[in-house]
Amino acid sequence: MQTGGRRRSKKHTSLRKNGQLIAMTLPAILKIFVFAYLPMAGIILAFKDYVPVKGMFGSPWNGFENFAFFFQSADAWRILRNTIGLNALLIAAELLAGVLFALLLYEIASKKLLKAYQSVMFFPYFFSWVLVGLMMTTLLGPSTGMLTTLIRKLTGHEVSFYSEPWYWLIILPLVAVWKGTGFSSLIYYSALMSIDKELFEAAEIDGATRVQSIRHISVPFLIPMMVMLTILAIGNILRADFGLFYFVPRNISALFPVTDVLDTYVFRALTVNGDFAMSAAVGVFQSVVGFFMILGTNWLAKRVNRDYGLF
Amino acid sequence: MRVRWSVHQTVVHACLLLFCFMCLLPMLLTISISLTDSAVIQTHGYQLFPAEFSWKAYAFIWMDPSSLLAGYRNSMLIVVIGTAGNMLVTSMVAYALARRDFRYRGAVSIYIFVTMIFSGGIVPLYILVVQYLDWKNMLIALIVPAFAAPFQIFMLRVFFQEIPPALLESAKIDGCSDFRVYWNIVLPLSKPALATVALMMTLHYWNETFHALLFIDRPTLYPIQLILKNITSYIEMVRSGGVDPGGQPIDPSTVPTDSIMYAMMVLTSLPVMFLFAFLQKYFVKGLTIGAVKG
Repeated sequence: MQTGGRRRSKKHTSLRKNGQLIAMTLPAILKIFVFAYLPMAGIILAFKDYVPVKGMFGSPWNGFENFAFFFQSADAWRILRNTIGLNALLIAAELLAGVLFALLLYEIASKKLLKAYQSVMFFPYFFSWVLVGLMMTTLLGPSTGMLTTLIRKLTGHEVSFYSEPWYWLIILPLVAVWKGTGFSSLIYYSALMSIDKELFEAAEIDGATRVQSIRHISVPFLIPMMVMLTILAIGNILRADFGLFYFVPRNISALFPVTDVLDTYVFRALTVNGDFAMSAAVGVFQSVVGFFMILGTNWLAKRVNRDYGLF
Repeated sequence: MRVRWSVHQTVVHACLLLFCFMCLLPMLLTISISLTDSAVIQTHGYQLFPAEFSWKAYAFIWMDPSSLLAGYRNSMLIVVIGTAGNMLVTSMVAYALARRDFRYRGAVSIYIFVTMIFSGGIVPLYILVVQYLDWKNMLIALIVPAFAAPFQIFMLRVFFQEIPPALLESAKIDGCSDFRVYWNIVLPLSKPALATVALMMTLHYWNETFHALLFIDRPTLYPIQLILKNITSYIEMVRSGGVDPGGQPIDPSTVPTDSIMYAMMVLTSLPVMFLFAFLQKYFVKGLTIGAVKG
């Protein structure tokens, strides 16, 4: 996301010359100002004892009480653990699946088959999380679910996916991989396409097997992109995909020990309890830590290799 | 690359086929269950190939399609207005940023980039929309917040930068204004990229549920995903109707509850399946080019 070199020549710099271009950026600038910059001012809410009738600016300050309220609650540890733990699992699973399937697709010589595979893998990407959540009940639902039935027939055990939280440590990453691999594998596949084919030919002449070629040519080639996308993901580790965590476990409280994350917690605090100030405090925590995470991971990546940084 | 048969190739195809099968299975299953007779589901469970074929679930929905149709109408409005407006706003700013002679491109890029790494969180946004803009229970609350997404701006900018600058300069020498260069040259030359971004926006608007949950609580304004989310209450409504599709009074317990849910799942995802069937190839192509260039 670099802005690139600025080559200014005098005749282009006047406002008159740039007038229309400036006008064309205005709608976006206005929208971003109202919906991204103005809410940043709303951060003060996190430090206030919010009284709706007094409004955001009229309510009295209360320092870090909202933060203290959250971090001293019994929920805080569980929710932070779930958010970071599950997101780490998701990052790892999505990285592995994306790279693995990109490498698999790269082995397909037939253009037609390649297109077909890529297309079909994209199908789940088109579904809403609400739909995915309902589809999962077909598989995992009590008594009638296909997987539940299969397990009952095979082992005689009655598995109850929607009341036993620990299964969701596996289910959620699998669902995320199922839905997202069409996209992520395409990104890595595009990178693979720019490898010079002669490298593979040379390797083959030297007697390398396909698997050796993949290990020593393709995988190293993907590493910068893997690092870059992982940095982005780690920077956002405190932001959970609301749809995945809310609609797939169906907001069932028995599953909260594993599936409740910051985003679903804030959503419930806001819509069920109407606890604005505490939700805002959690949101600020998320943003501030996330901000330093991005700066930190980016700095780290640059130390590893100067080209790996994002900005 | 070797094309001839080998163990290696077999493993590759087997893995991909298996994964593709898993990608298709849930929707195939959903369609087939929606067409299965309820009594069969009760006795045999869910099956990929219905033992007894039945349109009953669709007939029940057809009896009173008002809430489904309202959902369609709301979501279509959001998708059409949202995608058109968002395309205009996003492509205009992306074009300005792609122009090397735009004096403020650095400043505007940073202005946009900052919002990618820092945000005020959901609560201030909620207060802004509900209290200050007064958009509670207005569809515009689901449209405008998605405008000018940084990722899409930067993606389009990469595409626009690929157009030879000489082309734009010669048009300007011929007296074209910046806007006319954008409208008559840049946009027509970028159709694949625009199609990709438009498809992403359409998918976003059709599938968006989070803002809808926050901002819409009047059932007549529910977009399609909220209709689907409240499917159990919808089915209750059908059951309490007390008549079958032929207009005969019936026992609520004989209403095909299960298959109605699956029929609704199919009906609410028809547009995305349509998009998938006809536009998906542009999506893969556009994203592939974009990723290579980016």
